[in-house]
Amino acid sequence: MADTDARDREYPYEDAVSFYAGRLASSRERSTLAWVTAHPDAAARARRDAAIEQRIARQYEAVLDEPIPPRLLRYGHRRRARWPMRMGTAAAVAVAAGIGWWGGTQQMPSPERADGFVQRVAAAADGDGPDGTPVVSTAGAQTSPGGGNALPAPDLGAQGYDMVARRHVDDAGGGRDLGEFVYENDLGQRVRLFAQRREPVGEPSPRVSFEGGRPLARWQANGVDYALVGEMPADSLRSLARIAAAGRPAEPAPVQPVGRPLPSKQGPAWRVGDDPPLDSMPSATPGVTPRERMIPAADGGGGVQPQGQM
Amino acid sequence: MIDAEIPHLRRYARALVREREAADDLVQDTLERAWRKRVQWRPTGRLRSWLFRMLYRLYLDRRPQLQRAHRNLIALDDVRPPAAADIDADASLHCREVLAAIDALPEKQRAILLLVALEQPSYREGARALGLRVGTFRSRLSRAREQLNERLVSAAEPTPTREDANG
Repeated sequence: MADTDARDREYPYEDAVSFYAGRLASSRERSTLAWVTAHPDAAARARRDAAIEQRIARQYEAVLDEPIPPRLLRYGHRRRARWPMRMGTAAAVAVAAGIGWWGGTQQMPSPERADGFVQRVAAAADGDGPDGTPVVSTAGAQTSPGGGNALPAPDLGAQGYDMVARRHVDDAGGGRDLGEFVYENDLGQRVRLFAQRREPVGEPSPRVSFEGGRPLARWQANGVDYALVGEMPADSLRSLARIAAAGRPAEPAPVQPVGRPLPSKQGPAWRVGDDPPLDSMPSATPGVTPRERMIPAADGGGGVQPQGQM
Repeated sequence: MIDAEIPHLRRYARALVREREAADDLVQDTLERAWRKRVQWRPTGRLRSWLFRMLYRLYLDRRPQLQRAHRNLIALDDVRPPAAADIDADASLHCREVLAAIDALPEKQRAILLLVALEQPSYREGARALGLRVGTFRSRLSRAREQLNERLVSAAEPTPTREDANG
């Protein structure tokens, strides 16, 4: 009681406001009523202040019942890009593009051309092998080129690209198997990544050249040659390639329904009816069936591979 | 647990910023910061006070740009227009007049008045929510009320006409 009296003496005006706003604890109503009776001028002011508070509260009370925007519920996940992050990303891309341009002005390594990797990629991207034969594997193809030696694919999820398909491109005389990974962003834009094992030559930095009138970025990492092809400006492709070269391996892609063609923004249409006998194909990933993924065949046939590593 | 506080954060942010998207941006940044610093929260205090303190700090940090935007928003406020029931016959308090008077207050006084009006915290909770000592909270609230009343009174006084000036 002594504490209450002390508090009343200290905060009588705020208690009076609370009293008129109808939120004063009942245990203090009697003392507050006595105070406002003894101080009519202050009581009038307190009454007015309480009315102001009620006005404000009423003005914004509807906000409590509004549906919460989904973006406010994602605080535990990766932050969505807003302008500061977009500016940062743009700056990073600009820097990467600048570095890439500098790198692109350097002399192209000749070993890649010598072993035909670039030509094979360019041909595969066009849909035909170097000698005009189809590049898409059919039944019985190895999911792991090189007899089970899996080709790792980078994760481009941070750049908005998810892996949607992969395939094994038949060796057409180059002596090494070629793997292809297809990535797609939310806008349906695709990039194709080709990979092939070879001896390390110490050239990890992506370089861009133009093959068949389109940009092609290539680099090497961990004994694998990579080439990235996509319908985008060379600088953008170079930036994406640099991120891919520095990135971590991709996570397994989500399962797609069997027979559901992926929307193709570039390249030939899908021909589901031409699928090879899927269940007869081996899977490189334990627990992942070969029917999880399909990609469009460059020649119109149906190359099919499970998702993940090749 | 945090999700339950989002409507209250949105309401306070909306009152501070007065523009829906900017207010939600502020709440989003608050939530993301809170999530990053979640290990610092001690269950001895109310979660809401902890979150409000973060929101208030972020608001003060961005005050210059928010104020620039806010100056253009008073007449286009994202609040419902006052209805007849909103007019206090006793005190002649009009919702828009009150908001305009609050807008004219110093920022920290605005923040404390809005907090008290919307959340009705105890002195201790209110002080914690704004990162103040209880005494500072109380005296600032008192000054804010005083200044708001002065502004409302002066706004209610009729503007002298030319005839008044000529006697």
